[in-house]
Amino acid sequence: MSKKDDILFVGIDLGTSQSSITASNGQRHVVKSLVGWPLDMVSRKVLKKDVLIGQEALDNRPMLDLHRPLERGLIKEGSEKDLAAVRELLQNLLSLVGVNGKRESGQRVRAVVGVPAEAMRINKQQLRNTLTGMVDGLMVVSEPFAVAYGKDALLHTLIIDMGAGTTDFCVMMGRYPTDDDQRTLPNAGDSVDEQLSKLVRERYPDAQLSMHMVREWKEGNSFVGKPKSRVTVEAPIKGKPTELDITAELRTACESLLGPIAETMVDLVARVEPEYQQRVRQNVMLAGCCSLIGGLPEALQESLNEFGGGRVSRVADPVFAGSDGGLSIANDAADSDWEKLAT
Amino acid sequence: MDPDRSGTTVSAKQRRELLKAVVRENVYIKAGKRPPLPWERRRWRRWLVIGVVVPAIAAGSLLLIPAAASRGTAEVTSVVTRPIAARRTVKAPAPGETNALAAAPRLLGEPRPLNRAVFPVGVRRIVLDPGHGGKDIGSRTPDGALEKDITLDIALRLRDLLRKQEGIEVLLTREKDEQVVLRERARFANDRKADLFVSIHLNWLVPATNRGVETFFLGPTEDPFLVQLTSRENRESGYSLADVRRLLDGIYLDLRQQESQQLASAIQRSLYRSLKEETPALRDRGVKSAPFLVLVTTEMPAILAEVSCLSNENEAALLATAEYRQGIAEALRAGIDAYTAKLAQPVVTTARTATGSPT
Repeated sequence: MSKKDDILFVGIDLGTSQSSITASNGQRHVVKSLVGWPLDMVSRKVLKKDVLIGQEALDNRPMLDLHRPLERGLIKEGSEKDLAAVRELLQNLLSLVGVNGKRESGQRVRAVVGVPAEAMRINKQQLRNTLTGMVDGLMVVSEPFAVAYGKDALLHTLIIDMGAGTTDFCVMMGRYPTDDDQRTLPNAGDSVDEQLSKLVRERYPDAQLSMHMVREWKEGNSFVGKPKSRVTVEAPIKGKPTELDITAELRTACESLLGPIAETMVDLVARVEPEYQQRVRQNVMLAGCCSLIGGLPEALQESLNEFGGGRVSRVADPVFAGSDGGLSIANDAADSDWEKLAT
Repeated sequence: MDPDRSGTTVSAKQRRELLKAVVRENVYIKAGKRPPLPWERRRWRRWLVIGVVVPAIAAGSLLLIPAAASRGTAEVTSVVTRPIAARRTVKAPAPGETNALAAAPRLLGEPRPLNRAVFPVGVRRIVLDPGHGGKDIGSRTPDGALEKDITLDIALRLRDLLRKQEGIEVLLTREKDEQVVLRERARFANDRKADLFVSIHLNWLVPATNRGVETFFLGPTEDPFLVQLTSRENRESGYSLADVRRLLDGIYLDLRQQESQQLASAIQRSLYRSLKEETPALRDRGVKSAPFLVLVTTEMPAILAEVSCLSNENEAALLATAEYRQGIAEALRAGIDAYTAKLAQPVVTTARTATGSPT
């Protein structure tokens, strides 16, 4: 048995809306990045848990002090509660792949965690501090770089990782990306939710909406371009369940991403050495949960037409692309490297 | 299966090199250091900038002193007021060493007065930052008291207190219950060229019996004064402004941290002393450095004060009273006053002569 067989390697994509983990034991999971604590003794008795994570937290939110502890892909500034929520979330992700909380068995865990492309050093240090004690070794990498590494798309490729909090861009030119090769935009899943909520409220002023409802509508139906069918949802109006047609609003909200993303895409390609620009335009890859918006690759590809054309595609399994890439990095790093990065 | 791609793979050797770069960056992060930029690895350039450009910048700034004095505004004293960032970054040349500083022997022969009219160092504009707001409520007590409301109330009280002082302009990052993202808060303070940034928050500690006040600081990475100075002096150096700024970043960060730490200490001392009288069980949780994003991107001495503890039942009850919130505002004002008063005090320095011996 090799030395590496004793160690569990994990790749984690810590996302604003959902987080995924891929482990070297073959397990992989995705959970909503939500953490809730029972509001009072009654809630605790009903729920029979001290803390609820992910979908379970969302389903029981009226009884919980609910936290979405990541903002734009980073640990929220501020209260101990949000930090505690991040710890709970990470602990939960690790437990899903079989990491015992107290790791009594002497099990060793080495993790690679993705953060937004333009995350500052200070954010990476904060993440490192948060994970201390949970894992034995830690690397923090730019999320789109993890995607590129996992997909073996490290040359002449533009990765666009679209999450809920941020859209991250990274041009891979066979070298480790510098700040100039990367961009982070706040236009992502959350901005679509906000836009959609605003538009629906404008059209149906009496409808009672919550952001969670709006988010679910988007996740199930999002699209850009010509709609394939009407999108109808149900929401109470003065207490009465009512069917709402949100086709136009959903399209407008989703298409609000196109301009900023297309502009950034073209801008980054223009910074590449001229002889390689055409090749990069042919290798634009979308990843992340927000890349699942219907018709998005085609719409972005169309925006490249006036710049000489190109090809935009969605990677297979976009939700796990970041954590899979993290695992590849974790697996490939030498033991001696991991020893330098012990927590 | 991923869609077909053309020529996107690299050799195994290149892949290993990429991994090495990832590890290298993470080793720096672990050590709490900034990874060097690619061009910084060329050491000779680094030393060229530190040895020649920085002293040149300093000499340039010092040359302004006699120019002002010759306009009849300065009187000779034996003190130098603080803080002049660029000067403190400069190490004087060793005996026999020649550099741009030697070009200004008149300035370095003896301690020189610094005319405060030329380098006004007083605090004129303070940005107060009430934590959270809008849908970001911060912490919440079981009784429904929200951190966002309390921080705003304290900030408004503090604004009123500070505005009573002549010559002080006070601005708030938010004046009502609205969400303002951290980047905007920092941008607000930066755009208005604030002299101080004070972010007001309430702590949430586990277990709930814990209570106390604590103040955080963190030095930002950029400074308008140095940016302008380097811009002026480096025009012909062949380096871009951004290059020089990045190079000096590490040195400069330390200086800003120092200022922020002093402000944090003054505020923490005042908060603890004042509130301890009201609540004897209060704990002094001290002055700490912490990675609060809003402190990273602000370009002036900046602190974040956890002025009370909402998770503690007794403190939550006190925070419900206007008197206690007013007391916190007054304590913060006193802390700011203490810092600005210290800033205005002349400090004696041991300036070096042109030959490098202390005077």
